[in-house]
Amino acid sequence: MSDITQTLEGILRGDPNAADRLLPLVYEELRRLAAARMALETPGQTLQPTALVHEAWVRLTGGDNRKWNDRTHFFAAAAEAMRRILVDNARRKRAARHGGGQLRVEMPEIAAASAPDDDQLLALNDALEKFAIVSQQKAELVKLRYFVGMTTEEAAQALGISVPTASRYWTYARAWLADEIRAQQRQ
Amino acid sequence: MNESNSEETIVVEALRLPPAERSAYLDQATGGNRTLRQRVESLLTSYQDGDFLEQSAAPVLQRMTAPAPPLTERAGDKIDRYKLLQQIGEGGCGVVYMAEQEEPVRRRVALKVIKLGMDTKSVIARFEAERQALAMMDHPNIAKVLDAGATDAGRPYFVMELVRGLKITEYCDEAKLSFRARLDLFMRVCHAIQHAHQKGIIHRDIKPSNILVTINDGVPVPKVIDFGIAKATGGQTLTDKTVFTAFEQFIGTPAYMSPEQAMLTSLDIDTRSDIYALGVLLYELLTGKTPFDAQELLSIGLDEMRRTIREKEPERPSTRLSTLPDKELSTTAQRRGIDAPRLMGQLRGDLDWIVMKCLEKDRARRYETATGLAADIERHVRNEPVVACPPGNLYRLGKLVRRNKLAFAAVSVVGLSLLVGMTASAAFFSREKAARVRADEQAAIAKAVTDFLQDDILRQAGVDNQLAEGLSMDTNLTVRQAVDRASQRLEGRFTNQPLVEASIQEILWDIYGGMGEPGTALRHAQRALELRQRILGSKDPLTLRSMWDVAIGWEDTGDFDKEVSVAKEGLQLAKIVLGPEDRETINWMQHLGAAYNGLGKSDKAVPLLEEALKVGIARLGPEDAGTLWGQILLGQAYNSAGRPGDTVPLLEKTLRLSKSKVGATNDLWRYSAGALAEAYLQTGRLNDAVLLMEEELKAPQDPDNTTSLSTRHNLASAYVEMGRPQQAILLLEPVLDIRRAKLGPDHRDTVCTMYELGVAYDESGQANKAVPLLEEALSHRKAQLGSDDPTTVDFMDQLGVAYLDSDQPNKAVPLLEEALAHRKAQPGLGHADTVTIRYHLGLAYLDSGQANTAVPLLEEGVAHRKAQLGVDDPRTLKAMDRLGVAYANSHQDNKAVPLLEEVLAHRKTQLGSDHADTVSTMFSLGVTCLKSGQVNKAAPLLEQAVAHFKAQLGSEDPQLRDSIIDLAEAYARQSKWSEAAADVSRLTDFNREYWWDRHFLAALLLQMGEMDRYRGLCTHWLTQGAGTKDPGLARAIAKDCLLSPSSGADLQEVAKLADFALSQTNDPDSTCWGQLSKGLSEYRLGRFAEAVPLLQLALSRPHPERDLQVQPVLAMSYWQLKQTASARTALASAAEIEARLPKLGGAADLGHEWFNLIAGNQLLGEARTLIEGSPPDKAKPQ
Repeated sequence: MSDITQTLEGILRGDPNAADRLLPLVYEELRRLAAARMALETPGQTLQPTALVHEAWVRLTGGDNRKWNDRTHFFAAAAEAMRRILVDNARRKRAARHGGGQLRVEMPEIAAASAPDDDQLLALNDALEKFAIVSQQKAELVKLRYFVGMTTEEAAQALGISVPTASRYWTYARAWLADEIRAQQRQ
Repeated sequence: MNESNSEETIVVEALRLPPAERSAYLDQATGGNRTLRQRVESLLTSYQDGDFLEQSAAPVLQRMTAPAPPLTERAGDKIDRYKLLQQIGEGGCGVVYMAEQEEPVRRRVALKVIKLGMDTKSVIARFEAERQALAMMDHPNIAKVLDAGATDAGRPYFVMELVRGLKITEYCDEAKLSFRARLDLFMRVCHAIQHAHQKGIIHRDIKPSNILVTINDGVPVPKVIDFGIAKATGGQTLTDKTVFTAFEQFIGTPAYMSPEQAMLTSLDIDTRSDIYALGVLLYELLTGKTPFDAQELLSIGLDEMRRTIREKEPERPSTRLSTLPDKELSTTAQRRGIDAPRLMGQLRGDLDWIVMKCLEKDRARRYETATGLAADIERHVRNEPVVACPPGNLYRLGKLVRRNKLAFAAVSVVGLSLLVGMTASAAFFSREKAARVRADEQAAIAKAVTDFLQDDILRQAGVDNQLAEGLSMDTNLTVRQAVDRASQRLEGRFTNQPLVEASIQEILWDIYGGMGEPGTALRHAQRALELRQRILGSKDPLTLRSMWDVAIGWEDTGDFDKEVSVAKEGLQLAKIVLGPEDRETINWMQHLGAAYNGLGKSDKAVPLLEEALKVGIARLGPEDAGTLWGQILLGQAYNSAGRPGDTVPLLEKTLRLSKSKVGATNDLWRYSAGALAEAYLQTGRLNDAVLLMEEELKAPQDPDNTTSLSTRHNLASAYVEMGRPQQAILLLEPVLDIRRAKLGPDHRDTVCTMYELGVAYDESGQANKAVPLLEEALSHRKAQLGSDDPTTVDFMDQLGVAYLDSDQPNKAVPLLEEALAHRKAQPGLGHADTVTIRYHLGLAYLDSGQANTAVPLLEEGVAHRKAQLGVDDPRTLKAMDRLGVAYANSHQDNKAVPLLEEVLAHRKTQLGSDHADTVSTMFSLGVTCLKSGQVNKAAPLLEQAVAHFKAQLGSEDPQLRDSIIDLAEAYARQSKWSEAAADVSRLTDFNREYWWDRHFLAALLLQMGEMDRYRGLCTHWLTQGAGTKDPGLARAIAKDCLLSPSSGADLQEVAKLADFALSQTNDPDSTCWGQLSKGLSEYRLGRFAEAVPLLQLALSRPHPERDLQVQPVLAMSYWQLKQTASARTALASAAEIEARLPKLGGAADLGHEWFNLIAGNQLLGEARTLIEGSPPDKAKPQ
């Protein structure tokens, strides 16, 4: 817990390395939480990533006594972490399919119910990485909405932008990403 | 960036338009830029209005599960380095084997193979995740989990320390362990669980089969097994799968499942889920049952099962037992080495509440820790008050709230003086420069003030200086004396420097305030204000500060009216001088609001404080100390306004914030804790309130400061409410002393404490101490608030009760009548308040001998208590008992008997037959039965009562005496002479007030033919009773000494008594009795002619039992006068009466006048012997 707090404070002080340090911490916590949750769940039970992230926040920072600013960083890190978890999962499964052998399971496997298959997920991931170069903030929005499962309102709050702006960003991002994926597939 | 922006804008705008209009829009928006136009069109095409990205990538995280391979292990198989020896158990989710480990050490272990279809890899992964923590557990009552792995078939297994023993419940029943021994065992389990919790391990599956008891050197040792396994195997989440795939094995487990575990979406299980399960275990150890029956839970279906576990309030253990069939109950009792009534009696109270606290649905209300639970049990075992307690007593809650309103209102304003110190002084300081005081003047003031402090106060510390200044020498000068001397010498010194004097006066205000002398402090503040007003005018920040000091001074001295008027003026000026949103103006708003609240005008306080808070949040920010104070004050005002529901969320947040901001010892924290505790009290959350206040008192602080006193007071009132008056007394006695000394006896706070201490004394059975305190409190309260105030009425009521409890019903009656009259004029108050006073009045009427008047009031009280508390609540039973007695005393035996029988049955079950309350009811019922002619019922009841009184009371106790005499009557009426005489004859001391024992004994001895003892009694009694002024006693002695011609009594002395008795009669009936005694006396003296007319007169009011005595004496008198015909007629009349009355020695109840029957039969026998020459059936007395 103190690691996270220190890191968050580092980010606030403008320490350039702090943000990099935050991600693995959050990743680890989410992984741990997801594993713990799954220990309690049986197949067919749903596990909401949003709830997971919120709980991770509460657990790591001890509740609501921190500034909103911290939360923005935290959710960004959480969204990135969720993205990596899902993408890693997809990659691992694909590797296994292609004869890469079963890797040691470090966390319970995660599958997205009505989500795209692994290839689609990885294609989206590539497009998103490009989109982040065009607009970091819009890419963040996509991560929050798509990988964490936040609503537009939640994501807007997490990013500190208004809901109409978030809604506009979202429309544009969907068009942009769909176009990019289409372009990739044509190649 | 620009391009991208416009691209973005165009795409978004276009998508908002209907497809048909897009093309035209794009023409216009791209303005001929072809590249842009192409790019936008590509984006629009790619954009599918479907659900691309709308379904998030991970709406569902699923666990992959592998199908369960078949079970293949058997004894003899080897799993890794373990050799299975034999199957020793089959639990919920696996089979347990005894196995032999060969390396690295050779030892026997328990090996559990998981049976269900679990994903082996994740099970083992989860186990590995917790393995380190598990390894750190080292406790004699925890069986270690040693290893885990997968079998060849791919199923997970666990290796544990081998424990051979019985399930804890089975062991306890087989060993017939008493409650005490069970509790001891259970506490050790608690400590084991606590050990695990401290290592971060939650068991998650505590149930009897996971707690085995082994015997070590003859001592039972509980061992908790399966730690870490529930978590690794997916815990106890209640789902279709766990229930239905393992239906058979599952039985026994849902009964132990906590509400949070029963929730489908339950994410977080914590240590408190284990506490819940421990509660269920305790429940089962005590009652033999689980709160919810496992079979029943399984039979109602999954949804209903969840609902039950999450919503249904389980029965208290004692209630649960009372609903068991008799046979089952006695088996349960037998297994605990006790009889059924005692079993219930031991459970009721502490143990009930301890168990119920574990079983709270809201885990925040359970014990925090397993040791907390064990400690409470330990307190119970040592007969100390426990933390767990019943929900608030509905009866007195209204009272409690009213009482605390006053105490808390006082606290609120105290908070303000601190507020000045904390938040306002900085503002004042900077403003001082802006005041209309020139810079040079400021410097002069500062110097003068420093000089004053140094020269006038500190220099006095030196004796030489004292002498040099012409003061008397004092080597032990206190600060107080130094300041007193200095302030006396102020007069006239600064005539030309009024602002300097004002500043010094202000310092003195501060010093005296700090020394706890509000009166003196106030005078200095007033002087400073006066000076500043004169020089600087009213609209000056410095003047305003003095005004603030004065307002605080009025508050400290308890004059809230004056405080309000100063605060009003201050607020008005602040708005003008400083502006409506200045920090200081906000302070004034808060002050005025709090002052209104202090006056009980919460309707004015609330809106003002709400506004102050709004402005505060906007101007100072939500976490500013001033804002937080505002929240506390508003919370207090909500409390006063009867809106504790609004206080709780407001102050819970403030409390958290003040703790995280500045540490638990801070005033902010203490005040918010105090006000929050008050809200908890008002909403009946006594436990929460007590815990908070106890924590508050633990914070380091001056124990005598005002807040600490208030908290101690309030905590004590909560203790009283929880039935712990002894604890309350310990807290309140010093508080009262300090408040009396500091604030004076008539200060509102002092009076409140006086009252509270009175209540505590009364509740702890010290009514004699309660009465003077409550009398004093009431007189102050009346003077301050008048007789109509609801709290004054509460005071009256309480004093009335104390009068009753100290056997002064005659004082209680008028007081309670007055209270009732006032209460009726207070329509806002609940029915319950009125009924309570009416009930107390009923008790007072009953105790002062007005049973008829008491009956309707007590009937109402009983009905109310039945409805509010249930029929088997001890308080209801007490009311029913009193009503029974009132019925009996108002000649309504037919109502009294069944009612008292009901009370007796409940009390026997709850308290056992030996409890004083049970015996008291037994006695009342016995006497009532005797009175109403149900002698067969009466005798056994009175026998038990006498036996109990003999064991418990001194031989001189009047109640013992009464009960013996009543029992004697019961025996005698059944013609059991020797039984009747046995105890009565042992009553040696003579009681002039209640002499029936002698009267009874005389008749009994005669009837038994014990003539020597009869003669002894007569001689003795005549000596004792000589010169009595009680005509009844005189008559009784006379007659008893005359019943037999051979009584040996001095007939002249007897004649005097008979004369006195006859001379004192004033009603026709007792005249007849007097005439009988006198006539008999004349007969024994041989004055037959004088006897006849007396006896004839005695027959003037027919009364069979009396006439049975008169006729034989008349017959004998006639016979001696040789009027044989008249003699035979009289004798025949006597025989006729005899035939109509019950026969001595028969089965029939002889009735109340059994002793007159004996007397009549004696005299009739004598007459028959005289007249007919032979006694009918009895040996002639010697």
